[in-house]
Formats: sequence, structure tokens, C-alpha cells
Amino acid sequence: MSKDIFTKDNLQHFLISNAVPIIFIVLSVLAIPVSRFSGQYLVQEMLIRLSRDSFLVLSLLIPVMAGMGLNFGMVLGAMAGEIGLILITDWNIVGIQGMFLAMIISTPLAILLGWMCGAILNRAKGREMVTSFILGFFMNGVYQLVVLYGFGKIVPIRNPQLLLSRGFGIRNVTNLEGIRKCLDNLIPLNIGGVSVPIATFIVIGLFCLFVVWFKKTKLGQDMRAVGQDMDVARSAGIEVERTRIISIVISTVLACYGQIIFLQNIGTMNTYNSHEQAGMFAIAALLVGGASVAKATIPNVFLGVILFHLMFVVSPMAGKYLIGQAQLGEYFRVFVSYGIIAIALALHAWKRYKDKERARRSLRGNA
Amino acid sequence: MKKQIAVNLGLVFLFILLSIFLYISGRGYDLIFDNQTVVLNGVTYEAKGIVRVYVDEQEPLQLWIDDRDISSVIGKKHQIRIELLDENEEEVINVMEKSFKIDAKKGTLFSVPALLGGSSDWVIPKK
Repeated sequence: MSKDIFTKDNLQHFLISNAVPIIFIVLSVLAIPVSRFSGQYLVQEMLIRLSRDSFLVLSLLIPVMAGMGLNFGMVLGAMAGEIGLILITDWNIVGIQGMFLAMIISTPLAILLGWMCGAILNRAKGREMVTSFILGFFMNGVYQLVVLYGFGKIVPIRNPQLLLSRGFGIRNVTNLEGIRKCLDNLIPLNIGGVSVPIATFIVIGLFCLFVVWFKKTKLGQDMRAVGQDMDVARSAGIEVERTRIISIVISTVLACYGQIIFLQNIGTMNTYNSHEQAGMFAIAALLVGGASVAKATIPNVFLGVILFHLMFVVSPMAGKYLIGQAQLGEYFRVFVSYGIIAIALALHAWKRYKDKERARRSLRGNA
Repeated sequence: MKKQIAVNLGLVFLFILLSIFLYISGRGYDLIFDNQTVVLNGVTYEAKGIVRVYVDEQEPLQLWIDDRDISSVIGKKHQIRIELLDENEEEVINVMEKSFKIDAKKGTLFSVPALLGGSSDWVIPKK
């Protein structure tokens, strides 16, 4: 009898812990046959989207480790990356050199923004996510001011194709034709008609190794300690505030690189909006992969990107074949994508409550 | 502490050097090849006929008389090969190969007749 309760309890715990990926797997299993896409097409799409998004999503892991939740402030890094891309486009630096130069130029800016974000989040302990979310909006205003009025006036921009007709400010769309797919196509590989962006996957693989290595370092261990209990970590002699700032700086710099990798794949940049989408999509993808506010792993990243983007690809066509309108499928997808963040946060709160209850029950024993 | 500062400064210096290298080696140029009769330094170079211009390993540009076309390249140093074709565009009458370095200040408009005529200065100056 007690074994049955134990098994039922375990199953319930498993279902609660993995509710979001299970919901998405069920939705995908239902939507794929309805969408009528071929397996080869879906595999190609998933490979492209994995290479495009994984780096951005991976950049969220380190703040979660440090107990700072999902770093909505990653959009600051994305903005820094975009400024680097605008500059290399103006200077006409193309190919892989252009991409690396954009990364180098934007790194100091990303460090500065990350440090600023970390310092602010240290003053808002326990409310990091909402603070970083609002900080993203604030910095978006600063970014728009700089790009819309500073570029061409204070920062010299010579390329007339970049500038607005009034002579200053960057146009709504920046053409990144010079660096388009420069990393994806660096090592061409085609398997059975499916092209694999192998160089991008190598970079992502190196990043995963970095995360694994970083967790074992002194700083990584400090971050885990801070993430578990700040007071205990402080008592153990860890500089809590400094550690938290470093985690946000690393995340912001990596988000900056992630945004550059993302945009080199797309080949065009929505100058004033690309970064806004980056944060929301990366966080939604991570949550879909089964991560929570308190725990996120590398498998969560890849599972999340695949499931999230599978919905992106199949839902419009599934909607079209099911109800005759692709638009309805797309509405459904947008509703699910954004709703998943709310579901994940609500589930996180519920899971914490259930975990506490389980812990209490286990202390009481079987009596 | 001093060692740490020295290492950090060294890294910054290294990144600056890397940036300069990336800037020079990754800069893209649009080279315009012009097949018109031109006067350079008082010497007239006549356009002789249809030419095929190969820049590095790129697809060739085919230029008729009074024609011009653009080739996009990366970096400063390049190899050019120009083939002068007969009227039927079948046989190659003359071939000229040359290595050159782009000087953006001088311009990127190149005269094919001047190059075929053996001129060392085949860049048409900016007006």
C-alpha cells in the first residue's frame, strides 16, 4: 500500500516537474501529422533554429545557477551586439572577420551594461526577474535615443544606406548581407539533402563545455552557493554581491554573442526591435525545455529550442489544414508561446508549494 | 595586483591588435571595372574589344566596349586576370595577369584598357 502511494507520489512529482515539456510534446505530436510537413523539412528547420537560438538560450544558464532567476536583462547584451553589427555594416567589414569584429567591439559595452544590470539587481534581491524585465524596457529607450539620434551625429556613420534620409539615425532595417550565414556556412556539410551548420554547432558545443567547466570552478561553486542561500554563502566568506554581478556580466556578454550569431543566420536586423524579441523567445524556449526559475540545465536548452520552434513551424500549417486558416494557427502559437512563461512561473510556485508539502510529509513518515 | 593589471592591459592590447587585423582583412570593396577608352596622365588607352575579367576565384565579368561592372572582394590584396576575346567571343587573343593592392584613397574604379595597355597606373582617379 505504502509502495503504491510512493509510486503514485513519484509519478505525480515527475508530471509536475515536467508538465511544460510534456504539454509541448503532446501538442507537437498532435500538430505534426496535421501540418503535413515532411520529416526532412522538419529536421532541416530544427537544425537551422537550433544553431540560431541555442547560444542565446544557453546564456541564461549562469544567472539561474546564481539564484537570480531568468535574466530578462539579456536584452541589454543583445543591444550591445546590435551596436557592434551596425558599426561593422557601416565600415563594410564582411564575412567571419566582420562577425568577430562585431563581437570584439560590443564586448566592452556588454560588460558595462551587464555590470550596471548586476549592480541594480543587487539592490532588488528577490525581485530580480521583474527588475531586469523593466530594466530592459528602460535600456531600450536609451538604445533608441543613441541609435536614432546619436548615430550619424555623434557617432560618425558614412554609409548612406544605413542612415535615415534626414542624415542621422539608423534606418528601421539594417541589411547584414555581408555577414549573412558566415558562421553557418564556414564548414559546409550536407547529409541526405539536409544542410548542417557544423561550425555554429561547434561554437555551441564549446559553450556547453564552458558551462560544464565553469560549474566546477571556484567561481561556479560560489555562484551555486549564492544561489542556494545568500546568507550561508556570505557566512562562508563568499562575496555575494560581486558573485551575482559577475554572473550577470557573463550572461550579458554571452547574450551579446548569441544575438550576433542569431542575426548572422537571419541576415537582416530589425534595428529597433530585434533585441526585444530575443529575451522573450529565449526565456520561453528555456521554460518549454523544462527549466524553472531555480534550475536550468543544458538538456533543457536543446529540448526547449526544439519543442518551442517545432510549434513555430507546424502550428500555422496545422491551423490551416484543421480550420482552414493559417492565421488562427499562428495566433494559437503566439498565445501558447507567451502563455507558457506565465504557466511556467505559476507551475514553479505550485511546485515549490508541493515540494514543501512532500518534505513535510517525509519528515512525518508513514504514520 | 600589478601583475593582474599588466595581464589585463596585455589582453586589451591583444584585442586591439586583433581588431585591427580583422578590420583590414575583412573589409569589403566594390571594384568597378571599366572598359571605355580613357586618358590617363596624358596617354590615351583605347578599348580594344570584349574582355573577361577574373578577380581571385570569382565568377568572371564579361565587358563589352563602353561597358562596366562591379566585383565585390574582401581584403586589400587580389589577383586579376583579364582575357581579351575575339569578336565571336570564342578565342582569347590576349591575357594579362596581375596582383594588386587596393588603395581606397586612390579609388576603386579600374580601367581595363589601361591595364591591357601596360600602364602601371590603371586606377581612374576620383573626380
